Amino acid sequence: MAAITYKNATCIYEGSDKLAVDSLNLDIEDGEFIVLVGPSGSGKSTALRMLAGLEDIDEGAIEIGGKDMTGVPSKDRDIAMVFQNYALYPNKTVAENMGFALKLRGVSAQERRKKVEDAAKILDLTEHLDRKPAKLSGGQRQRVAMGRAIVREPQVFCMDEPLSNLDAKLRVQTRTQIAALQRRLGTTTVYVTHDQVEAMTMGDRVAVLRFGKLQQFAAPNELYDRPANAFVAGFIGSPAMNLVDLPVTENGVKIGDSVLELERDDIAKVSEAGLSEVTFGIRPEQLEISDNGGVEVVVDLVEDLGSEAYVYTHAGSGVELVARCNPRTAPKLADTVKLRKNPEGAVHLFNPKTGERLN
Amino acid sequence: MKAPEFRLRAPTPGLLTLPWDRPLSQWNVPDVPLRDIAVGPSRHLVKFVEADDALWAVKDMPARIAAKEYDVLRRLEEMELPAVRPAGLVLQPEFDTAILVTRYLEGSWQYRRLFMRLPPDQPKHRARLLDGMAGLLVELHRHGVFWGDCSLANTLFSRDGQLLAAWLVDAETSEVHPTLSNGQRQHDLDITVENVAMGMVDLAERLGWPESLQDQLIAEAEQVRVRYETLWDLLHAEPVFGFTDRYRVEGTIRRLNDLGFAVDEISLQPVSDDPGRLKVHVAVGDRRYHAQRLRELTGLDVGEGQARILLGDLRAYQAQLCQEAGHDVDESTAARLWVIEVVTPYERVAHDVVGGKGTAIQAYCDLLEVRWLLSEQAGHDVGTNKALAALARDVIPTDSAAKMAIAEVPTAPMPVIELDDD
Repeated sequence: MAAITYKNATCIYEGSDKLAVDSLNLDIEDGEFIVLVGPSGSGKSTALRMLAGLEDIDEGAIEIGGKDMTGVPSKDRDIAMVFQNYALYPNKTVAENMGFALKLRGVSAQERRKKVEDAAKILDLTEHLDRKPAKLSGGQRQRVAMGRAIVREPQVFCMDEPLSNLDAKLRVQTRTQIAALQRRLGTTTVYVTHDQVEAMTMGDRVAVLRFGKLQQFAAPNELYDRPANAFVAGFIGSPAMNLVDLPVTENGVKIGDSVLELERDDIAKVSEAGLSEVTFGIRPEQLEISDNGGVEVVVDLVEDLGSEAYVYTHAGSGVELVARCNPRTAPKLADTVKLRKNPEGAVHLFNPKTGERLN
Repeated sequence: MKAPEFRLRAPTPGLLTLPWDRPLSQWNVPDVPLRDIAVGPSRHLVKFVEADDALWAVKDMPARIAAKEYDVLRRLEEMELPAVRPAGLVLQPEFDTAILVTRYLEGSWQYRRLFMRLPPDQPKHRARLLDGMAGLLVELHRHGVFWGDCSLANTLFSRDGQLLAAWLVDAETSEVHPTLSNGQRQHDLDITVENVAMGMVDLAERLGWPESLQDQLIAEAEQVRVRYETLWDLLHAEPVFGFTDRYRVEGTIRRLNDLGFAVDEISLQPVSDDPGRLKVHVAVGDRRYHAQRLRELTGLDVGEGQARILLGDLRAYQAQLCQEAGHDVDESTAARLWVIEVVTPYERVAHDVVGGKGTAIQAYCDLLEVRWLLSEQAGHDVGTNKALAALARDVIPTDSAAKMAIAEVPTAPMPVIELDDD
C-alpha cells in the first residue's frame, strides 16, 4: 500500500497542441479510494494511465510511496489494472483462473494456493475455488476477475471504467462490491469513470477534471454542497443544478419580473467582484412550490418517479428552472406556479466569465 | 414500445428482416436462421445468423460500449488492418441494450479447432499461430491501436501460404490513439502473453494433454514477446552508416521486404555529433510487399504468405522457360504463361484432392510445399504428381503447413441448430 502524489503532472499527446493532462496536482493518501471523473476528453483516463505507466509523464512527476515513477516501466510500479483482463478459462478451476498470473511470475504452487485462498476469503469465493467458471453467476465471475488483481497484492489498484461493459443490474451489484472490497483490503485505489453517480457513491474523494485540468478534488458531499465552479456545479448531481445567468439587483437576482432575494453577504461578494450579472445556481430539491411569494413560472413537464417528482418550468424571461416536489401534490402541465428557495436551500453564485465560485 | 434504431452498412433484405424488435436472447430457430459456431466464453451473448448468403456475428451489449466497439472497428477498417468488419449497430432502447453486427470471417479458424486436430508434439504449428498473433499485435500497435484484451479466443486465424494470418475479432477494450507509448505496448503485450499462455494451458487440459506439457506451452507463449519485439525492433531500427557505406541501406530494405513489408520512404540524415555518418529512418508501409508484386505481374489477389510462395514458383518457372528457350524471357511474359499453364490447371487439381477445403490457391501453395518437402526427403525432385498423390492420401510431413488443410474444414458450412424436443 502506498500514498500517491501527482506533482504538476502533464501529458502532451503527440501532434496535439492541447495538453491531455495539464499540471495535475493530487495528494492521495495511503489506502484511499479516489475517483477521477469528467466528461469525454477531460483527461481522466490519461491521468490514470500516467500513474500506471501507460502514458508518458512529459512534465512534472508522479510518486508512488514517495518514489518518482518517471521512466519506471509499468510492470515495476507494483500496480494492478483491475478488470482489464477479464477472460475466464472454462477448463480451469476458479483457483487456477485466479492464480495463473502468479504461476507466470514463477510463484511456487504452495504460495499461489495460499494467496488464492486468502483472496477467495475476502471475495466470498472460498467454496467455489475448485469449481469451473461456467458454474458461477455473473457477479461471481466479476469477483474472480477482481481476485486476479488481488492475489498480486499490489500497492495500488487502477480501474479504468471497469463497469462500463456490464449490464445495468450487474453494474450496480459490482459497484457495491468494489467499494466494499476496497475498504476491506485498504489498498490505495484510483478509479476512473464518466458516471458522476458512480463517482459520488464510491470515492472517499473525487477529482473532477475538464479539458485536462483539475476542477476540484474533494469529498463527494463537499463537491455537491460547495462546488468550486459552475462546471462542477453542473456536472455533479442528477438532475443537474439549475444554473442561469441573471442580472443582479440591490437585494437579489432578477428572474423575469420577480426578484429572488439573496443573503446580504452574497450580494456583497458579487459587488466586490464588480459584477452586474451572476451565474446563479440552485439544486432542484432546494426549490419549492409556494403559494405566497417567489418566481412565477409555467410548467413544461412533470417527471413523476413515484417517490418524488421533478417539475420542469420556464419563467417569463425564458429562464428554465427544475424543482423537486411531492408527486402527490405536483402541478400539472401548463399550470402557472410560484417557485422559491426552501428554508434550508443553498444558493451558489459563480462569476459568469470565469465560472469561479463567489460565495 | 420504442422502435430499434439502425445503423447498417450492408442493408440487405435478409439483415433488415431479422427480429430486431426482440432481445437477442429470444432469437431462436427456426424463425431466425441461426448457425451453430462454437465460440469461447464471452462476456456478452453472441449468436451467428445467416442472411443473404452471408454469415453475421451478432453480439448483445450495452449501447455505449457497442457504439465504441463499432467505431473502433470502423477505424480499423479504414486503416485496412486485419480485423472483422463492422456491418451495423442496432440500438434497442426498449431493452436498454444494443446489438453489434459484424461480418463473419469465412474460411477462418478458431485456435481451438487447430489445436484439437494437431498432435501436442508439433510445436511448429503452434509457432505459426504465435507468429501470426505477434505480427497482428505489431500491425495494430504501429497504427496506434491498443487492443486491451488480446487472446487466442479473441483472434481468428486464416491460412496464408505456410503462415497463419491472425485477425482481431473483439475490439471491446480497444482504443485508437495517434501513437502508442512504450508503456501501452508493453501492457498490451503482458496481457497477450498471459492470455495466450492460459488459453493454451486451458485447452491442453480439455484435450487431456500431459500436464508435463504445461511448462512448454507457457514458454511458447512467452515467445510471443520475443517474436513481437524482434519484429518491432526491425521495423523501428534506425541504423547509422558511414556516408560511404550508404549502399547498406539496401540490406535494410531487403530485410523488410523479405518479411513482407513495403518501404514507403527512406530518409538519411547526418548524425548531429558525427556529420560524416548517416542515420537511416525507414517509413514502413503495408505488409503486402509480395502480394502487391504478384498482383502487378499476374492480377492474382492473394495473401502475403501465399504470394511469397507463388513468386518463388514463378521465378523457378521463368528460369525453366529461359533454359528451354535458350534466351531470356522477361518476367511479365513468364508470369502470363505461368498463370495459364501452371497455376490455373494445378490449383484446380490440388483443390480437388484436398476435398475442396480452403481456397484453390491455398491448395496450390500446399502442393508446392509438399512437393518441396518430399523432394528434400528424397534428395531429388519428386514431381507434381507424386506430391498430389501424397496430398490426397495425407501422407505428408506432420510439421508441414499443408497438414493444417487436412486437419479441419474451417468454419463453413455450418448446420442449422436443431430445435430441442422439450
